[in-house]
Amino acid sequence: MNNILLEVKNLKKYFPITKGFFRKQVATVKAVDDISFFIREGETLGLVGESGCGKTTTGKVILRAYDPTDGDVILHIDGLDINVAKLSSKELKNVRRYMQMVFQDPFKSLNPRMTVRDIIGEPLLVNGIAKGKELDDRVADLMRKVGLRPEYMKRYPHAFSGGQRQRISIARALALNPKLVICDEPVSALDVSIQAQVLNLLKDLQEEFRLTYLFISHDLGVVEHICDRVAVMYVGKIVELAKTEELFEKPKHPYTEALLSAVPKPDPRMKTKRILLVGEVPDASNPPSGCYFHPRCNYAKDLCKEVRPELIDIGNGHLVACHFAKELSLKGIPIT
Amino acid sequence: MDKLLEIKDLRTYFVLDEGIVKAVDGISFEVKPGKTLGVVGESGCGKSVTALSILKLTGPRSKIQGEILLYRDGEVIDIVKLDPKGDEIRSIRGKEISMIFQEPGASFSPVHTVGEQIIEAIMLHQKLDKKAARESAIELMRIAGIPRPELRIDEYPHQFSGGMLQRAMIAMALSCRPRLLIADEPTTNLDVTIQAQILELLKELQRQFGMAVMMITHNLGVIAEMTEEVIVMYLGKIVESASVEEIFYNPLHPYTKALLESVPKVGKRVKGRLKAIKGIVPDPYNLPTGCSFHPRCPEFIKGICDVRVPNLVEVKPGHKVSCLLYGEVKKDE
Amino acid sequence: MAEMEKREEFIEEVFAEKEEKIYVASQWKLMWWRFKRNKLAVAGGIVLIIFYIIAAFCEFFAPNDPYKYDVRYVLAPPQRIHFIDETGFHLRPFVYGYKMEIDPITLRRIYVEDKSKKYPIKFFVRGHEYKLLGLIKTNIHLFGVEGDGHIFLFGTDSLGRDVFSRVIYGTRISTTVGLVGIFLSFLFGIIIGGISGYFGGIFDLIIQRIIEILRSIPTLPLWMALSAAVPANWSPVKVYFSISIILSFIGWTGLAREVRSKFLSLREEDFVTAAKLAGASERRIIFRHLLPSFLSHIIASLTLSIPGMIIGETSLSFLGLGIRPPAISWGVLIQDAQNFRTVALAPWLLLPVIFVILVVLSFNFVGDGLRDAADPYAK
Ligand SMILES: Nc1ncnc2c1ncn2[C@@H]1O[C@H](COP(=O)(O)OP(=O)(O)OP(=O)(O)O)[C@@H](O)[C@H]1O
Ligand SMILES: Nc1ncnc2c1ncn2[C@@H]1O[C@H](COP(=O)(O)OP(=O)(O)OP(=O)(O)O)[C@@H](O)[C@H]1O
Ligand SMILES: [Mg+2]
Ligand SMILES: [Mg+2]
Repeated sequence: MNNILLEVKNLKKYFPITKGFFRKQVATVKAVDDISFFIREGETLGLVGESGCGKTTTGKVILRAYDPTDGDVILHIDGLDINVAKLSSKELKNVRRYMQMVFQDPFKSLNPRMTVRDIIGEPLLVNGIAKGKELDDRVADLMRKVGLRPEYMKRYPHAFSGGQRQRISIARALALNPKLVICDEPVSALDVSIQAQVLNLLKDLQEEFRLTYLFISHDLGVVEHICDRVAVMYVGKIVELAKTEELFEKPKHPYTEALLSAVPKPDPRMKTKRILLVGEVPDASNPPSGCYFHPRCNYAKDLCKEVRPELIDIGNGHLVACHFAKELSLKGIPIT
Repeated sequence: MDKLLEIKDLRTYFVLDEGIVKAVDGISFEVKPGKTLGVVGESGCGKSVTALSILKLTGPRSKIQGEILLYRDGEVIDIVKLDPKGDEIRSIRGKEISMIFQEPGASFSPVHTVGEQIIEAIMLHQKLDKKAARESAIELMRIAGIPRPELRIDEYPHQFSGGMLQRAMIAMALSCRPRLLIADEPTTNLDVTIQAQILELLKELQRQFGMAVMMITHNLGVIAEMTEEVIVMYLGKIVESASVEEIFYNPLHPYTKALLESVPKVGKRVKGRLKAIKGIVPDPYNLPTGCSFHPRCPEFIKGICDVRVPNLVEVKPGHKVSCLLYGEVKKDE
Repeated sequence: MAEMEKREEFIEEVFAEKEEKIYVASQWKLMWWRFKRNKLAVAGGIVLIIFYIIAAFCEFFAPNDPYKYDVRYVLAPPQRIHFIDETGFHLRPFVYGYKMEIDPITLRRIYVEDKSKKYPIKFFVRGHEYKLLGLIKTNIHLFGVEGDGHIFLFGTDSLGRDVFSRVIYGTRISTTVGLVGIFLSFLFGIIIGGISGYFGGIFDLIIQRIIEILRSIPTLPLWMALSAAVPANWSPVKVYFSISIILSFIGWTGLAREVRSKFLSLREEDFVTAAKLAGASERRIIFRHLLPSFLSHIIASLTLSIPGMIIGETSLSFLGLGIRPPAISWGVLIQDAQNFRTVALAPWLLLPVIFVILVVLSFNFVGDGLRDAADPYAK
């Protein structure tokens, strides 16, 4: 088994909600609320969950695009254990190159006022790695790697389609030879026929450069295809984490079960009865008592209203945060 | 079999400064009463424009040609001929055919309550007084699955979540018991759990009201689950149309095949790489010659596909495909 | 090799080469293409260029000395330009001299054309002396009449001064005196708004409160107080100039708010996060990513604020608070018109108003054009 590359321990990120003339804090959004997990080198960990459950925030806190409220993010690189969460902004500069991000919206993640050369070359330039002619060569190289013609280097982003822009974004993320790439819904905004191209590219690059991915998505089909392990988030917390097949075939958390059953199956002969969840995702600034999922859970008992379950290992690295994980027999999707 | 709506050689073009966009370019299909028709295709292939053309909502810069025949009590109305602002089309919108949009937020005015807007829609077509209309609106909201509708009826759209607003939109669309409901990507922006709720709701309502549904989406799962007949569109044309089983188990057009293979599906794990469709959807201002899919087609035949324009031919009962690999061909005009 | 092939299949062939130009066009090029399509804005731009050329070389364009008064021609109406005399058509236009008569009934002076005195209008004639751009001493004017003739295209004022020449001279002060103030506001607005928006937190809180206080100060009374406070021996233009600079210290608030909100929203944009993750310094992020993203908007709103300044000068001078004679500005000229039962007796004194309107409209057209072109990436 591979070494652990990234360890996240009790990570929290709270956003204050302020009001009025003096910006008094009236509430807190617990966007990421005490989550822990690890990622092995060369592995793809999926992070799924409904809108607003804190997926993007998790990614950004790991990268220190946001400062965490609390917790540790430990990067194991070259025998060193670097706690990214605790670094000063000066020290951070040297660590940034190990971790990069690919964003969801290819139309917002590229500065429209810069040429492709300047966009992909920016990480190289600001870190003093290359400039001038050498920068051009490096950029051309990166563009070839992601399947873009180097001749397009002088063009601006508006000359490219969504899928091509996402390639530019990937090339920029790869410029510094990172170890970890956080992909925040990299294909959600793309046309169906383009999604596969980008997913294939991500897979190829992973092989070629031994990349490790944290793959954020709400498309379970995509997650199943690309991830080795999957973590399910609900209102800022991880409720289940397991190997992909195991999570899909034998989910242990009622929320995972509901999520899986909600996905429309692309097979007209498969008319399954689905588990419908009542209501909507609770407001992260005012979550319910006990288990956050209990108001929507079909198996909730009194205990669930009062006590918040811990994320525990029920064997084989399968983590679940449910009081009745061992008793419930839940339905998954058989993988063929 | 009787028909509800029949579309014959519909063309909707937009005349812009940059050129002419042939958003819909010669499509024909029909909708049967009480059935669900699925329309799939990638972004920009003309799904929404088809729907808007049926209601004549494409705006002043558009030109619509062909026939859109609505069968009503034995008479036939050609919607293309109607004045887009006239009384006749307005009596069809909402009453015969209504539509729910991808962006429910954009369909509600932010300055009126959700209730007022549903009530207005009801009073437009039914002779009810304000009080009765309000009762009816509350009932519709309840049917659409909005909890405590008697309270929520007086709330403003911004107080509704995306899923709730979509339900309100459905309530409004149902206000006159239309015979055809056009749902233009009704769940695209919603979470899967909410999407499941809306899809179940639509199925249930269809059972109750017996209306026909035209389901526009690019999600193959939604197509498989909801529809009976499917048309697959690419660049303003229908490339294949068949029953849902045929589309999924016996696709004929290379585009349909590729689309089905390229999408990762839950429950069907593909080892390694996906089969991607190469290239990108071409720019609508300069379309490829011949078959418009030929630059991306894995079964492209040089000298044929880039020269001749295929037309939609029925290769077996109920299964039509527009590809030069099948059936007769038409010379490029 | 197989690796490479796999990727070749993605490489796109669909770009039409004729569209290459737009693909490599920078923001400013795209903006210019879009601006050009707005005919009104282009026309406004041309008018403004003409006016600023006139402002720079007003002595050259004015046929007469705007300060020279002549009791023989008090409140003379505009002279007509003729092409035809008793001998027939002439290619070179000319004016007739004025002969003063007294209306026997109202006892008012009236001016009639003296057909015996004919002054041909010539280009590049020699007239009163001046220094071109304050440097080159010369006496050549664009056009005029020679010898002891006179040409009053817009008539004369109550002291017999040529209104046309005065309007031309007035262009200089009216179109420029507020620019420095505006430019300073612009600078303060960007810097303070930028700090407030980019760093946020306590800076933002304090700056926002200061802005709210400053915005509640009424400027007109302040203006009056300040004009009383500056040294009495200063020239009127210097006084005006200094006040407009002082006021720019409170005039930046609107712009600062705009800049702040732009910063706030841009700071969260993915491309800014990406730059941060790439290791770009704060300075680079601000100057390479943030500023260019809204500079065009700021320039557009700046253009739209210049007409306000021109109207401001005009109306303050009209009220006697702004520029005062002997300095010449459009406001001063319009104030002259106030002293007469002008509309009835000497309506030509109101002609400067047309210039004010023309320039203000042009600025608005250009500003609107710029604003529409400012974000060439919006769909
Ligand atoms: N900068 C911020 N300031 C305040 N609240 C924020 C901020 N960013 C995110 N939040 C809140 O934190 C919660 C989690 O947001 P996040 O963007 O991480 O969700 P997500 O899982 O990525 O959702 P989506 O699928 O919609 O992208 C949300 O309630 C959101 O409103
Ligand atoms: N009002 C309009 N004016 C000009 N062009 C338009 C207009 N509406 C649509 N189009 C063009 O018509 C084509 C088809 O658009 P349409 O909205 O039908 O696509 P769609 O299949 O619904 O895509 P999506 O999945 O993105 O909703 C596109 O190229 C679009 O740019
Ligand atoms: Mg997100
Ligand atoms: Mg659409």
